Amino acid sequence: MPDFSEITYESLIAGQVIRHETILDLVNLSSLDNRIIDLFLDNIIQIDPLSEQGTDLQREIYLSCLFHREVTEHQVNRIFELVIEIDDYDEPTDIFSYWWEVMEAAISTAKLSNRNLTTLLSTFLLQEHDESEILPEMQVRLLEKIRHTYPLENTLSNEILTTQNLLRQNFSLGEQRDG
Amino acid sequence: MNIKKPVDLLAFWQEIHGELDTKWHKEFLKDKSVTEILTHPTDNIKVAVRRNKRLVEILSDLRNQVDKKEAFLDKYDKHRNSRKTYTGSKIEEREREGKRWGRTF
Repeated sequence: MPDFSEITYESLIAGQVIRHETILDLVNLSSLDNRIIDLFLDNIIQIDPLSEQGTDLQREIYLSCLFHREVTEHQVNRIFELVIEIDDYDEPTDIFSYWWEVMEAAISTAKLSNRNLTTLLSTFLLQEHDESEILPEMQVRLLEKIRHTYPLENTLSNEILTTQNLLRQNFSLGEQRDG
Repeated sequence: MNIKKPVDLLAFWQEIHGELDTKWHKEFLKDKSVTEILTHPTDNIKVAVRRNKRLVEILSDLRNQVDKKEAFLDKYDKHRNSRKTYTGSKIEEREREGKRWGRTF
């Protein structure tokens, strides 16, 4: 276990090299210096290329950052934008199925901007999707979370409710079909 | 399965609506709607194909999906039109602004 007192914002910005496996332990520290999250998001941290990366590290880091009590509104929105603007962004559904937990965590912070909230709703949640790509249950779950976390205009809230009901009908029909 | 080529579209169409007589394959593949249909994301195409049988209706469904999304953003993303959008390269952007690349004279 590394000595985390030796890993500080200053040492990281000065080029301290850390191992992949240390990153996750670091972001999970309750005493994490909030500025270190910015270093992750700016890709400034030097990582030992010989260390073992593990699977889904980026996703785990984003999740840990979002669960951090001190995460700022700016950081939440940066994470969300990084997630939906991946280089080979050509199929929104691929992004949703991989990143939905990060999206859910971002919603839960109650710090998503109106712009990102409307992007999330219009691109992923209020549209009908092919069930093999996005499960309607997931859409309903995130829509529910949005309705309970953000103050919404009545018309938008009603639009979300209507979509939730339609999606629920879809998956109950699917359940009947599958016996 | 991604739908990027006319043959992908035909394969998915047949998966949903049943086998199409081979003599119609050529007509399907060179139909003028196909090119525009393929500019849309796979997920949207799949939804449209499930909801419609004729290519012209599939295309119309896809256009409606885009219009619906745009209308939603216009309605709820209040500052959408006031944000600067970058549509070309940095050079094109500077040319639009009437500046030269590098130092501004």
